[in-house]
Amino acid sequence: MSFSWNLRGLIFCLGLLLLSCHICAVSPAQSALAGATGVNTVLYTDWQRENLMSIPRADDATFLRRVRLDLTGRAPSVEEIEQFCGDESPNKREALIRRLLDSEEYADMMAMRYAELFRVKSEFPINLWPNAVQLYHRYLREVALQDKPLRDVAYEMLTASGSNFRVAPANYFRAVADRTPEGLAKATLMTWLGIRLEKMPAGSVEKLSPFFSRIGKKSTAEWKEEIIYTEPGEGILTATAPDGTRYSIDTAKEDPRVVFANWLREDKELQCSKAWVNRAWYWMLGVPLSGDSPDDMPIPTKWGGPSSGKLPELNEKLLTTLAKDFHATGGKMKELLATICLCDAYQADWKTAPVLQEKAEKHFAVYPVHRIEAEVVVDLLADLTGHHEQYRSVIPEPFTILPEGTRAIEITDGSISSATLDAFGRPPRDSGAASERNNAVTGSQRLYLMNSGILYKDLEKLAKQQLSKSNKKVEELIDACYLQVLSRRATEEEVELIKAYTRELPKNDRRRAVAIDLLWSLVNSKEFLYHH
Amino acid sequence: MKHILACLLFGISALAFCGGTTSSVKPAKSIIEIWVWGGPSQIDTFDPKPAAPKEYNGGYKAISTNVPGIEISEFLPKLAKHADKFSIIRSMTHGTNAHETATYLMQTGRWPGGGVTFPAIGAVIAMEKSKDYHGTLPPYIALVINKGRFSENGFLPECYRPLATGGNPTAARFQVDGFVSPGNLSPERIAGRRNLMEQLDRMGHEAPGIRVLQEFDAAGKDAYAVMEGEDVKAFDLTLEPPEMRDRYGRNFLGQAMLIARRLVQAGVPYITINCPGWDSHKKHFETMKQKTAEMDQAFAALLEDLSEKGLLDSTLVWWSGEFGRSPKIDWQEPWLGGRNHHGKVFSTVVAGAGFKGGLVVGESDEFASAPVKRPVTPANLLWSLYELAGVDPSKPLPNPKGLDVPILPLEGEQGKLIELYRDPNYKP
Repeated sequence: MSFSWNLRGLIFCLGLLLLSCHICAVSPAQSALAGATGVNTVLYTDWQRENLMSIPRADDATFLRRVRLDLTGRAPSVEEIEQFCGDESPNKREALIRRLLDSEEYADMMAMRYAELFRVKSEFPINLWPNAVQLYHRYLREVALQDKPLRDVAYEMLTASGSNFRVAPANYFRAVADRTPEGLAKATLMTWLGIRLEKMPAGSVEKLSPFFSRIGKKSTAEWKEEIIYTEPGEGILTATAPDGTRYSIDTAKEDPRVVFANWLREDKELQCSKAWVNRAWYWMLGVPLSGDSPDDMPIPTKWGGPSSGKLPELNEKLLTTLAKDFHATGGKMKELLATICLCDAYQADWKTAPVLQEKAEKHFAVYPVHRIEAEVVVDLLADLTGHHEQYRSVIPEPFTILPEGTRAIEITDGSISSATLDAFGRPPRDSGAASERNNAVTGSQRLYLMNSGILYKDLEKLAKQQLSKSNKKVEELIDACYLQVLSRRATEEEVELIKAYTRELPKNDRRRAVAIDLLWSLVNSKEFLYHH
Repeated sequence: MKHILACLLFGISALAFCGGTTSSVKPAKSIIEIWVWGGPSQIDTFDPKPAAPKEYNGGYKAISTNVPGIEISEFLPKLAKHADKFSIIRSMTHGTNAHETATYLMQTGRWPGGGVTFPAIGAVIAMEKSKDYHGTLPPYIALVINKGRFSENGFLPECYRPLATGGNPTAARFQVDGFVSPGNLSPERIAGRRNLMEQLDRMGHEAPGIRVLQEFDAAGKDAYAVMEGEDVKAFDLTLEPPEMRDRYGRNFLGQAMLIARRLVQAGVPYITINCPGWDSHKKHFETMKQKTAEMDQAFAALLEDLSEKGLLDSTLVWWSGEFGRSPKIDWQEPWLGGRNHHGKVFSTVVAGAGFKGGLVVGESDEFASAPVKRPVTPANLLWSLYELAGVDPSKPLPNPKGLDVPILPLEGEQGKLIELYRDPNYKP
């Protein structure tokens, strides 16, 4: 009796052990780590050849701020910085990445990126209307949060039928400015394959658009509601996929959209996977692997793409290595992002010797410095001062007023913006092209950061708070300001500079003056405005 | 504001097509756009219908002007004394009653669609004038808010986006947020703090080799040029005599109009005054009484002032909404005397630069519901504005997508306002 129980217990324990091993073997962190090792092998081969192996990894504080901003659009809290920098466990970066990817904050940030690609906007030139905007945005946020494989998302969107107010993915076909079969083909090629149809060989439009020629739309009694459906047809329709595969579709029995969706699912050339890898790389490192623009993936030669204009060998290898893993997961974005964040191109310091800098950037041996996205800059300032602007729509009526405290990255609707967001180049979500986002630094942005009366009042308030918290030494004040604004401690040299500055200030107002002037200087620093 | 290099190159390539002219008419240096946002009633402004039944004209009359034969609404008595300075187009038409589409049409001369957003006239003028404009203020300024992205710079670079000044022109001291140092600090403190900021520039010091960071420093130079330049004083209405401020009217519109005149003096190529509140669906006449009184005083003062200062010949002024309002008054609940959107016919006013004053173009029917003579499209109107500003609207519009498109659809030329040109042969 007891023996058999023990035996069963033993078997159960063994089973558990096996099961947990099994979980370990496929657990995301593990496979992402393996993926990163694969990527690092590619990188090291290149770096060894180019003599770029000596560039160190970014320090903990820099890494924390970097990955926090990239994955969640937020800066780390002071407690988080202290906890992370004091943590001595060897895999703390990996654990951090995993924790951030599983957060609601990550879903907010990714939903913004998806909403940009999928053109979530209520009016002009996309006409989703606020009802559909809410539905579509919630769907995309769920995709991010649950890490729904993008292969399934593609299938859902491309084959969706029903009301755009009820069936979220049906908005895929509504959220396009040009809704002709040609326009839908163009949008699909851009969204799912990262290619501009104009760059494909002549005749591609005519070959591809029949897949989208049977999409019916009918309106309902509900204002701006639309039912998407497949018009039943008669006879054979000929359509050709981008790789040249010709399909004869019996329209009485088959939906051409399903035929295309199945073709895309297979992703034989990994073009779809590569397009997502390219975007993920661009989101994390600020530069795409595809060259100048994330919207222009090279077209495979088998598809009639030009043989010239190929990518550098390193870029091509990185794309392929990451795309293979991504494809194997069915398109799990969290996996891909974890892999990228764990690899040494992402972990590297942002600077090296001036003579090497340009070359190192080209070979991903340093983390490329790039300006922080409009929404994230605005949120950073709002978090810092505790003052969030209230967002509301200008069009269409009836106006949408977002709840107080809504973050800029949480804005569901591309039609809702603000003067500050516009000044920092928030994309209008018209076409789904990444190039709509303007990350240039302009004079008006600097004027805003230096002189905006509203921002300055907020900073004065913050200065007061800092003073009441650290009422002892000036060093403490300096430290508090640096941690809050730049997520790091001040260097000794910086402390000395600020102390010297303090001595120049009028005695009666010294503490208040140095607090505000320091906060102002840090908000106006490159370090604040750039991912690094 | 000096533009970043990219914009400069863009502007130069855009200017490569400019031609010369020998006409006595000189192209306008500046354009003031008075945007009557929401759609002003044509009947209650520049196309009165005193003979129509009361359900159309509300019982309001027409008055004569200083130009024999031209009558305008009794709501505009001050403008009636300056009818020789402006001309009225009473047959503007595009037929759409949606704000956004109509605005886009009036600003770009094109119907929306095709997946690209074209730049509004202000942005194109700003770009075209960039060669001759050396002021430190942005070349396209909106008082005080923008109309929305679809009527801004479209696919042109950021530097041609209208700068919305924000602020309240009736405030004791009108200021553009961001253009002046906040906090009432002494110049020494401001300089000292700037110095501190530069000393603490760790990224700049540690990695001078990073090219993207140079953009930050260049943008800083632009910003300081604005703050430290003379042009920024154009916004300071305390520099105007109080009588002048009274003349324009001590209200939002009047003071905004006065700022616009000061910006013209500073050489700013394009200024738009976005006048809100004309979308009078409900209680139309109550709104109109207040709105037209302010508009009448401010617009009349602007024309008189520009003329007195000798600026009207070099300044083009246009007044329009995105459409007009429905001729028949709706007295039902909840409108209680409202007028709805009306794109079939409406009135636009032009003045200054190469335009003749004291004329009327086109005609609407007895109720001001449809054009009956010489319909004028948005592209026709814009064609004339561009030409008299010295810009050939048929020249290619440089764009990053490599599209082969002219500034305006070429059919806009057929039907341009040639009868209003002081020199009918004038070509940019």
